[in-house]
Amino acid sequence: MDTVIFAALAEPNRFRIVELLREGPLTVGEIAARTGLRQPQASKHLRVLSEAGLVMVRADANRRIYMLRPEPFFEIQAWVESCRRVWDDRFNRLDDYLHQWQGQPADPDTRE
Amino acid sequence: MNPTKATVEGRNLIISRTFQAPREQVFRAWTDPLHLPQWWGPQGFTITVQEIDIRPGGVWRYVMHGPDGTDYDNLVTFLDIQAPSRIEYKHGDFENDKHFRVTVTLEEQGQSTLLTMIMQFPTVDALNQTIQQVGAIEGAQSTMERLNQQLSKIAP
Repeated sequence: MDTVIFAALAEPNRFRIVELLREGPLTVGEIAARTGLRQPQASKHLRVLSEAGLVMVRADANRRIYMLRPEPFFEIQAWVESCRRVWDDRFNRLDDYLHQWQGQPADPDTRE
Repeated sequence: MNPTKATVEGRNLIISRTFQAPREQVFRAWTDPLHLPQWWGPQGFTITVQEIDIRPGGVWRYVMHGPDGTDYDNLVTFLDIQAPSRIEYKHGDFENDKHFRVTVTLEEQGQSTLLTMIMQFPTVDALNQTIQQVGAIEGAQSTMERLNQQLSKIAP
């Protein structure tokens, strides 16, 4: 899991830009307008996102259109799933522990 | 249908699970030093508790020993504890300069308790530490699965 991706997303303005781009590609002007950022600021954030592999840009006449790349999000999803499994395992042990404490054997079939 | 759910909302990772136990009991399992270390450690790992004080401002310092001999030091600092419904802590390594914040809430649902954990999207350093541990735990689990598979082939 590439931590550069998380570093890029950890900044709130960049997170907002990513959320916007989930709805479709935008130019830097459109991004600036919708986030309230000044255009040079938006450009700077887009450069960081691009270096992290989260966005790519395509030229259309004299416009530059930014869009999300899907690959990093698969990585993030995989990491989320790993966390979920670790906690699932821990919660299974908590479940067993609570049952023992109540004086009942734990029954895996009753896990909701 | 797997009982533990995880989703990303904004800058948070949200994990939830329902337990067939009263809220007071779940809360006690989380906040009583006699109980918490009993269920916290993953399969294949042992935990050495060095210090434990589960109160706002208190810390739980422990070392998690991996099956391959790697040690991971952990420091949990409790920020806010409101019986019987809320525990807030930060989790990092012994220096605790890299950490992430977690808020656990417990909600009564009849005879069951809904536990929700909100983990704030970590800084890169905190993430590095988490990734190492998650990777180690996953590695250990898949090692054990493979071992189980091997054993089931050998067993008469």
